[in-house]
Amino acid sequence: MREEISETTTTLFNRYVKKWKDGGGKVVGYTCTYVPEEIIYAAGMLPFRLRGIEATSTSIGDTYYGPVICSFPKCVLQLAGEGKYKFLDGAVICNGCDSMRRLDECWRKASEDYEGILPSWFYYYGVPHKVADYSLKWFVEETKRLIDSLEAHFGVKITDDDLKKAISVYNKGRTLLKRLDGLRIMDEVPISGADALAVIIAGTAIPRDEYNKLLEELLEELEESKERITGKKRLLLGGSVNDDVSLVELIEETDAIVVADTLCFGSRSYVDLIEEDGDPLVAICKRYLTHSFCPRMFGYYKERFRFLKERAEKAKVDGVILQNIRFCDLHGSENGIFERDLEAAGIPCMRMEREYGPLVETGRIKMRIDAFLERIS
Amino acid sequence: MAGRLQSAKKLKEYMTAYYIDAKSAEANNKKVGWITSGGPVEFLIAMDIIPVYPENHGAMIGATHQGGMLCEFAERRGFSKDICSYARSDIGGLLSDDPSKKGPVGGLPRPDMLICCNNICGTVMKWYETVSRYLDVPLYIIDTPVIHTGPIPEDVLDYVAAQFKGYIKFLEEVMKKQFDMDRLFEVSIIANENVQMWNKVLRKCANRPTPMTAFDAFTHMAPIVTLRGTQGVTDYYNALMEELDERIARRVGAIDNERYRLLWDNIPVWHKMRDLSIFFADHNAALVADTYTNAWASTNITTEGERDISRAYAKAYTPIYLNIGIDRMLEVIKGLADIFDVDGLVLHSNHSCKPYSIGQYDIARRFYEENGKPSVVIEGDMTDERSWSQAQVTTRLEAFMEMLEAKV
Repeated sequence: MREEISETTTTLFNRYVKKWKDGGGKVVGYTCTYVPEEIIYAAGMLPFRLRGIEATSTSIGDTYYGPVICSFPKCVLQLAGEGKYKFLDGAVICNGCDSMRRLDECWRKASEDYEGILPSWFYYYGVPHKVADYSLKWFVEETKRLIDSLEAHFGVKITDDDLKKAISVYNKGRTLLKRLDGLRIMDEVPISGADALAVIIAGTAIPRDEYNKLLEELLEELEESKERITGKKRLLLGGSVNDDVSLVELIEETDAIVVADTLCFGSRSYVDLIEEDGDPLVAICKRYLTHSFCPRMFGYYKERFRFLKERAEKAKVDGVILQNIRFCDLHGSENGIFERDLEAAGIPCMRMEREYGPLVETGRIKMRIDAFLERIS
Repeated sequence: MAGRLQSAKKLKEYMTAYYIDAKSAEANNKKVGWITSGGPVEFLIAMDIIPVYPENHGAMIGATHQGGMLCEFAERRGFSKDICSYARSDIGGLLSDDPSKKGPVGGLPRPDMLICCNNICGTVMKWYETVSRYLDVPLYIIDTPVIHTGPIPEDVLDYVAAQFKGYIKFLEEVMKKQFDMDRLFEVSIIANENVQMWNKVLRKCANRPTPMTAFDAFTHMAPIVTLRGTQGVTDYYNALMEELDERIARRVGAIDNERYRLLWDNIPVWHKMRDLSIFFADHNAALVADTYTNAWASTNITTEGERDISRAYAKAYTPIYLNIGIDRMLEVIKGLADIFDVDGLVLHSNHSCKPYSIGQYDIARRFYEENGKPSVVIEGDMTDERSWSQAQVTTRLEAFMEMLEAKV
């Protein structure tokens, strides 16, 4: 994989962010796929998805979160506490799940002990859990409030035209990523699952215009490339948040390749586009509200299962790995039901629990994957 | 020691009658609605639906040491061991084919509808969805945005109020009859009286010595949770209060030699109630207050100045203890600590309940910084006895008691 893309998967303050900041640009962090990146882009800023990838301990995360919480937000807080997010000019925290929504408070509290770690604009953004006309009404209000706060703090103005341009740019990026999906599901695959994840992650850490260009170039290279991966067990990876390329590398160290995913650092972030006609703010809210791929939303199990099954079938996978980070109530509730329904549909499935970041146990995971591959071979 | 409250016998009769009523609902042509503990039960009462609380069932499962066994049924079907043990044990009971392994009351009566309010956590949504699919029963969700600080914004109130209107429609569809708004007003007034009575009961623990402890409150909270909105709750708490007043008049404490007064945070460890109550009593410590039972002592449905009753309910049910920010939670704890004059905090870091357990270390530290009073965090689980290390908890609690001895 190109070095500049690989760098974004392991380094928060990557060369693109550095260049952006050197040019006087502002960077706004956000927690999950329910925060509209388009709004931040429309304000002329770089949306940067918060990650926990450089954490080597969870000592700070444990202090403010306590022991029985998912290690992903703990690692994000750890990095914040260590000052590694000081390059952020702002951050938007949303209620993706109970643990993530508390990042708002835990980060604020940590900033009372660790000076200067709280971005000057730190905003909590509520997203409804159910889809209804009144949910959309509230969500539009909540999003207007987000825009007002962003404008007031940074002294910028977000016009409808800015939003329309942002929608168009992000839709283009999402469409390109769907093209990448098309390559990944080929019989002879031009890109490994680890590299594909790196490409997707890069989209959350590189200015979108540059990213779209880079992605176009990369897709052309891949389409023309003669190097193909064949003869491996084809897998789909789903479940909790995963921005850890090494997890996919671990899977692919075996006789397997990850050819599809249903991850939020993955297909869940780009399969649905925003309507380009009509009121852009309402169009953005509609897309994010009806974005039912995450179990944070009420209902839609059947739709989520259909999404998972269709992706598995299209990619002609030999099996599905559903992982969840410990203490993830959402995926920890749903993965077992997915497993039952996938197996009933004749798609072998392995469910595993894991930790995130410095707590990950590679030996145990490797053993589980080996056993699964043996079962499906 | 004063021994057990006489009211405990009445409580047992009261709750048994309630469960018999619920279990025989179908035979009596009545409908049953399962509802989350933070859910607006008044609407069910107004529609003459019998409310059933899987969380209350979870408490009974824990108290009868059946949590681990029932949780395993759910875990074998793929539910993560780190999910709330109320959810796991409830789902486990549903999945169990063995009638003797469905929980202490032989399983809950089959629901005709499910009502889930996520003001307590996001897990309840997944739990109720699972039950809804498994039993093929209609489910209504009330989504309550978090109110970290400050008043509830108008658009949030409108959002939640719209859902209360939807709730009425949902009940009308399930029950196939019109909702009686006048009856809801009546029930709301009774619910407010119930809550005020429960608050008065808990306030009795401000006396020295306290006439009851949080361990009693954990048991006697059942009516305010399950039967809120009915006259029987007020009557029951009136009788309980008389008994507490009588103890106060005689200066009879719930424990002998009350020396330390402590505040409990989080859901009780149901399977260790007896052991913990003995431990604290042996160390002359009374748990005089707790954040859990107090959560049902402040909800007030105020229709005054509101356009409609749905907004009054939105106001009452949105900013509850688990749906507010840590600063506000600390304020609640500090308020209780003042009222009940406590010497320290016992925080249960609950493997099952993330929203309750997040930030406890920070709360403990800030409480110490502001009041100079110590805290102890013990790790456990409300229902699943497998997540309990007796040696570790004893060591921590003994060290805490030694620290208190040096301070008080």
